[in-house]
Amino acid sequence: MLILGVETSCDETAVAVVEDGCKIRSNLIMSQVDRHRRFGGVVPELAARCHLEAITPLLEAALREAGVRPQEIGLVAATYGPGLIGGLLVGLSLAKALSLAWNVPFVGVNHVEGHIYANFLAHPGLTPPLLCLTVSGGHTNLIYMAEHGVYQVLGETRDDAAGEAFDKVARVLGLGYPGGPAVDRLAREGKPEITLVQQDRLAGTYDFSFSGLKTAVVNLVHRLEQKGEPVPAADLAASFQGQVVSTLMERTWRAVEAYQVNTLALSGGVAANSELRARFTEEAARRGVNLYYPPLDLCTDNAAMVAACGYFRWRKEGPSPLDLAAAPRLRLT
Amino acid sequence: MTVRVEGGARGFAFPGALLTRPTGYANLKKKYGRMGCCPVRVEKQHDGTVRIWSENPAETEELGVVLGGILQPGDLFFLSGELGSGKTLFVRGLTQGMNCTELATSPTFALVHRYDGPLPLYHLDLYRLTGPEELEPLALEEMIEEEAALAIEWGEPAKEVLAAPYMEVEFRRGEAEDERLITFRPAGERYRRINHLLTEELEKQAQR
Repeated sequence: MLILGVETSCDETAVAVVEDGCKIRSNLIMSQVDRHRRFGGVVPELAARCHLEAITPLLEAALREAGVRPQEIGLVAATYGPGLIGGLLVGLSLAKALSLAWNVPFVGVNHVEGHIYANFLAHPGLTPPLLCLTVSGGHTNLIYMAEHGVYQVLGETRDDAAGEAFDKVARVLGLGYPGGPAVDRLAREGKPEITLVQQDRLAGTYDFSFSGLKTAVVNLVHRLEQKGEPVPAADLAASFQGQVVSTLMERTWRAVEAYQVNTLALSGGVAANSELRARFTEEAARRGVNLYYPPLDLCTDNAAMVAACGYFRWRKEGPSPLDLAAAPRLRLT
Repeated sequence: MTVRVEGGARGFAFPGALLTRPTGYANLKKKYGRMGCCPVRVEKQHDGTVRIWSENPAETEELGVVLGGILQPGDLFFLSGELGSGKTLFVRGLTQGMNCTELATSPTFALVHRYDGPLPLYHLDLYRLTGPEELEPLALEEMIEEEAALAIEWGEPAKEVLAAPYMEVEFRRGEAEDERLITFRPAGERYRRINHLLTEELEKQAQR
């Protein structure tokens, strides 16, 4: 079966065609960067209007690239939350309209659940139960997946998402946007020897807090600038990144033990961080746990993961009602 | 049992406000714990401005809790201050004081978070916006018409669009590393009244 996936929950407009929930036939993303290039000017990056302008050409391109005619599509999947209401409505409305026009079932997908399915796309042999750590600009979740469609959210961020903390620290250190890769690069030249936060106030829980770490970096930079001393940007980047990864490691491996899983999956844009990958890989090898992470283009927001997730949802529960509403604060249950 | 309040301390009709905690609150409190005590250094100025010194993040959050208890539908707050100055932490306190079903987390990525409760709260971070024309799809007016309260970070472009009275809350770094000076500048009588109630409540808390 061919599944059409649509993702418009944040800045990225994405459409994909996936076969049987695991084989990518096309996977197109229109990011702000592309948009600037293709339209030859600055286009407001956030407006729902942009999703609206991008989505029809993207749909046509995704079908064309997959070599698929509309009547061959058997299921339409779209993200219905969490995300920005304006964007969600564009993707959701398109998917519902196509479902009616093509007379095929429609299924709504939770964006956070979609990120987990990026791993099923990249590693077709993967099966639950597993633990998934999703770390991106908008989400930080530690999730136990008992079987397809059955989840327990063990921990989430209480303030800033991991990727957001990277972006904000990059801003303070003058590294530009996106902050993740910039901090990653600079951290390689620094020593992770600055203690930024003394105490883990969420110790014993699976929740995360990165705001205090971010504020510690801001405070330190501010203090040095006031004294007229140089800011050791590389050491700060290395220390900040090291402490983010340490927190993620501590929560995750404690959960791996508590839930006795031997499969761990990483997803989200921060899963592309080199130190994070290296340290998780090393620890996984030491413990004999199977570690999976998707390639970069499936780590970040995309529609192939939405199609894959929608396929499993539909097989388990059937189609979603056509009056399914966009849910900006949707939780994974 | 729930008790309905017909008029709040601010003299606005406030039908539908529930005195009992929503069911999720006990769990939330268990999960997140109760924060520290209120800031005690408070200074009122002649023009209605109120300056509050917060000694640490816990006090900033608790200040939000106290203010959350006196908010009314349509209240509009603009929060300014550099990264890490406590804006989101303050809003997290608001969601606690307003008995929302969830506590606020950073809205930077999603731009808008909506928190359900007896009085809903919209929490926005407009840092990523590049101009006022990008505000349109956010439908700010509808949020106010919905009888919710609004807290907007980096909200300069929204001030012109909304053209309504508001409270400006400025977060500045204090002398000590964790210290913050939080200034409440009211634009309009409605917000001077909030400042009055806020200082009254802080004084009450300080005496406990």
